[in-house]
This record gives sequence, structure tokens and C-alpha cells, in this order.
Amino acid sequence: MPRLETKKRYQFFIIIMAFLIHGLGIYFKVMVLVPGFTEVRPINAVPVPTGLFFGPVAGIACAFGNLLADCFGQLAPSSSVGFIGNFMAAYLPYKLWYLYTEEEPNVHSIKNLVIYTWITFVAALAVTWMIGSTLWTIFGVWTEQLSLFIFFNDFCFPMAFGLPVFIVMTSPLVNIVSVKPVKSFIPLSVRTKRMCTIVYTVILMIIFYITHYGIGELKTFMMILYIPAVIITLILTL
Amino acid sequence: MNKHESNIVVFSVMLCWASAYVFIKGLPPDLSDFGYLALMNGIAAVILAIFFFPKFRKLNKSNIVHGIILGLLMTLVLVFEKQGVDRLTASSASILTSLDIIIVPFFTFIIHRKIPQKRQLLAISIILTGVLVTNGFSFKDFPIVGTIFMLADCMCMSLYTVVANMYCKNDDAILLAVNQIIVMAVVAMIVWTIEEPGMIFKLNYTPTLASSLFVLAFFTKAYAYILLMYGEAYAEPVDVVIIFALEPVVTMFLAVCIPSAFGGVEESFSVMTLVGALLIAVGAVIAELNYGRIFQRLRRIRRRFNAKT
Repeated sequence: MPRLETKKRYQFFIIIMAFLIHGLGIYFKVMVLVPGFTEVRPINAVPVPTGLFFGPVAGIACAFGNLLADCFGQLAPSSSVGFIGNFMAAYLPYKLWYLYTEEEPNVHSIKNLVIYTWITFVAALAVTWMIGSTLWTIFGVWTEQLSLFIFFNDFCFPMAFGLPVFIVMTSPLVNIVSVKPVKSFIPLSVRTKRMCTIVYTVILMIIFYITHYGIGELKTFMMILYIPAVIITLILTL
Repeated sequence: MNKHESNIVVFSVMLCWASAYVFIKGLPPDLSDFGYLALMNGIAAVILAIFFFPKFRKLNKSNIVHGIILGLLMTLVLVFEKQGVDRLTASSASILTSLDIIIVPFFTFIIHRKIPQKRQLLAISIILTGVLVTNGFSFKDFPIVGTIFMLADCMCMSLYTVVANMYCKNDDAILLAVNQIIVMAVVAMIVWTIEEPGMIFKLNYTPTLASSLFVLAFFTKAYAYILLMYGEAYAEPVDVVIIFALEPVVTMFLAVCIPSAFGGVEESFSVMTLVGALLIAVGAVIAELNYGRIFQRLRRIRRRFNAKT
């Protein structure tokens, strides 16, 4: 069976679709959780699979898609964190996938399914940090459960809706060709980077905990934790 | 697609249908059932037609006929279900609906001469017990007309599952889904127009309504049917029906997580309901686990451990 080649023309079409779906989809607010900041966003299922298939371009499409949605009434300086967060939601899974396997993204084996779950979890934590915690520390916006909802949107929807689409796209009926992994600028071994991912997850979980409960006394400690978090983000993504 | 992959795909479809309650909240109460179906399927058909326009070049007689059959079967399912639910109590309706778990293996045997595996039979009996426990072993309130409608719904749904499984193996999954959604939209639109002429133009299309309609059409129709067709191409009909049996469990779970979206349903949970839900979940796990592979792995681990010691 021929594979679905992502030729430039086709890839461009998919990126435009991802951009529009992500941008317009967010505007279809069904269940607002925190007015002005977040709602139940099933459309957050898009970044992880598109990121795994199309890499950085999918990240750019999702970031601009989110910005497009913000342009319809919510555009503010805080939109910049949403822009970076949505880029990371697609780009980080793509970079993390090739740390654990040399196979093209697929979940044909249980091992790959575990990898998919793990990278979705790490990416969701990273997005929660970039949006939820940054909103609190830089823009002074803290709302109860905001971080939890961001995490819920970015973890549960890619698992519930993104994963099945990912399975169909990698099935013999479609068999999409993913973009090749790009060479990293930072010459660290895969093993070191895997260790970095674990440390990164622990740091992000601490940041998540402090942000979720809004522990003001630990805010300075949390900001110190931002330094290793930023460094590891750069190590993992560059 | 492996077994675990097809199970995830079918599970996701079930998740879409179970979570539809959250989004139905945004629909106006005066919108009739056929109006709801016509709008949902109409929007889904438009979305799919735009997305998969190039696919229409592959349309053939088989795709169209099979799409019409599936569309009509699903419309019958929804009509019978509506009539049945109107005449029965919720618990009686849910007991009768769950009977498809017995009918599907029966149809599979008639059509494919395939006997369900032992673990599937065990799972079916556990799931049925779970359904009965959830409903408190209540066998009253079964008026004859309502029961007949519910049984007809069950028969049509079972037939749909088996027939869809057969068609999906040879036909294009996307075209099958698009065709059946178009058929469902056309039938529902005709009935709605007869029932309430011109209502489509009289509705007040507020942003909340538009939002709910879009999300429902996208997830419960367009997305769900496309994925169901792909899942059915690889999954066994019995596996599909077992996964669909998890719907009340998922609804209950969602009601616990988002109580406001379910009108505080969580308050009515009893120990029996939870035990029943647990039995349904255990039944589904029993049916879907690959014991041969698990035992093989355990044996391999034991052998490695023995070799080391």
C-alpha cells in the first residue's frame, strides 16, 4: 500500500488546516472554565499528533492558530505566553519522541504507546508551566484551578482524541510519512537528555504544585526553578 | 492496526458519545430530536464534505449503497431509541439497550459462523450482571410497546455493528462515514420539516447554540463516525460492542469529574451503581486482555530470573 507522502504542497495544506482548526476551534467556546483564560478545549488534541508528524512547522501553525483565536477579543500582552505555550505543545513531543526511539512516530507497540503517553504528559506540564505559572509570576494573574484546567486540556484531549487520530494516520490505510528528526545543536548524549527529561518533569511538577495551590511564600523558590526549567527546555528543543 | 490500537479508536468513539451530554446542555430545550439530528448531521456532512472533497472521486456504487444502508440503520436506531426511552423508565431502557452485547455475537455467528471466545463469553456475562446490579435487579416497568421499540433499537444497533464491520473491510472508511452521515441528515431533515415546518429558519442561533452545535457535530458525528469506520475495519464486532458497554461507566466518571455539566447526577450514585459500573469495567478488561501474551511474558521473565539465580 502506498504511503501518504507529505509533499510540500500537501504539507502546506495540512498546516493551513491545523492553523485554521486550532485558531477557529478555540473560538468555539463551549464550556468556559476560567473566563478570559481557559475553557474546555477539545481542539487541544491537535498539537501532539501534528507535532509528531510535521515537527516545527506544526508548532508554528498551532502557535499562530492560538494567536488568531486571541485576536477575536482576547489579544493582550499575556497572549505571548499562549503563543510560546502552543508552539511547545506541538514541538516538544516531536523532539522528545526521538529521544526514546528511532522509529517513526507510531503506537503499533505497547512500548511506543507508553512513549506517546509520557511525552504528552511532559508536554502538558511544560505548557501548564509556560501559560499557568508565567501568567501568575509575570502578569500577576492567578485563578484557582487555572493550571489544572490547562493541564487537563493539554493531557486528556491529546490522549482521548489525538491518540486515535494518530493511530488512524499511522495505520496501513493511511500510513503517513512523518518529517525526519532534526539534528540537535546541543551535543549531549541521548542518555543525558533522557535524564534531563526526568529532572525537567520533576521541576515542572513542583512548579505545577506551587502554582495550582497559589503558595505565595514559595513564589521566589518557584522563580528560581524557572532557571533550570528554561535551560532544560533549551537543551531538549534546540 | 493492532488490537490495542483498534480498541483505543473504538474507545475514543464511545468517549465522544458518552461525553455528548456536556455539550447538549447548550442546546435550546424546544429543539426537537429530529431537529437536533438534522442540524448535527447536516453540519457534520458539510464539514466532512469540505475536508474530504478530493475523496469523492473514489465514490462507487458499493460505497454509496453501503453508506445508505448504514445511514438508514443508524437512523432507525435513533428513532426506536427515542420512542423506547419515551415509554420506559431509564433503568428499564438501559437494561434493554445492553442486550446488544448478546445479539451481536449471535449475528456474528449467523453471518460469519464464528463462535465468540471463552473470555468474551465470560466478559459478556460479567457485563450483563453489572448492568443488572446497576439497575438494582429491577424487572418491573416493561410496558409492551416501549419494550418492543427498545428491542428493535437493540436489533438495529447490533445489525449496524456487524454490517459496518463487514463493509469497512472492503470500502473506503471515510466515504462510508460521509455517505451515512449525509443519509442520516437528509432523513432527519425530511422528518423534521414534516414535524415542524420551517423550524430551521425560526431557531435563534445564539453564539452558545452555534458553539454547541459545531462541537457536537464535529466530535459526536464527523470525528466519531470516521473513527468508528476505521476502528470497525480492524476490530471484531464483539470487541466493539463490549467497549460500547462501557458508556454508562464513562458517563458516570464524567459526572463525577464535571458534576455541573450533568446536573448533579453524582448525588444519585449508590453503592450498587458503583459495584455495577465496576463489574462492567472488569468485564471489558477481561474481554480485551491478551492472556496468551501476558502468560508468555511472565514465563519469559521467570525463565530469565531462574537463569540468573
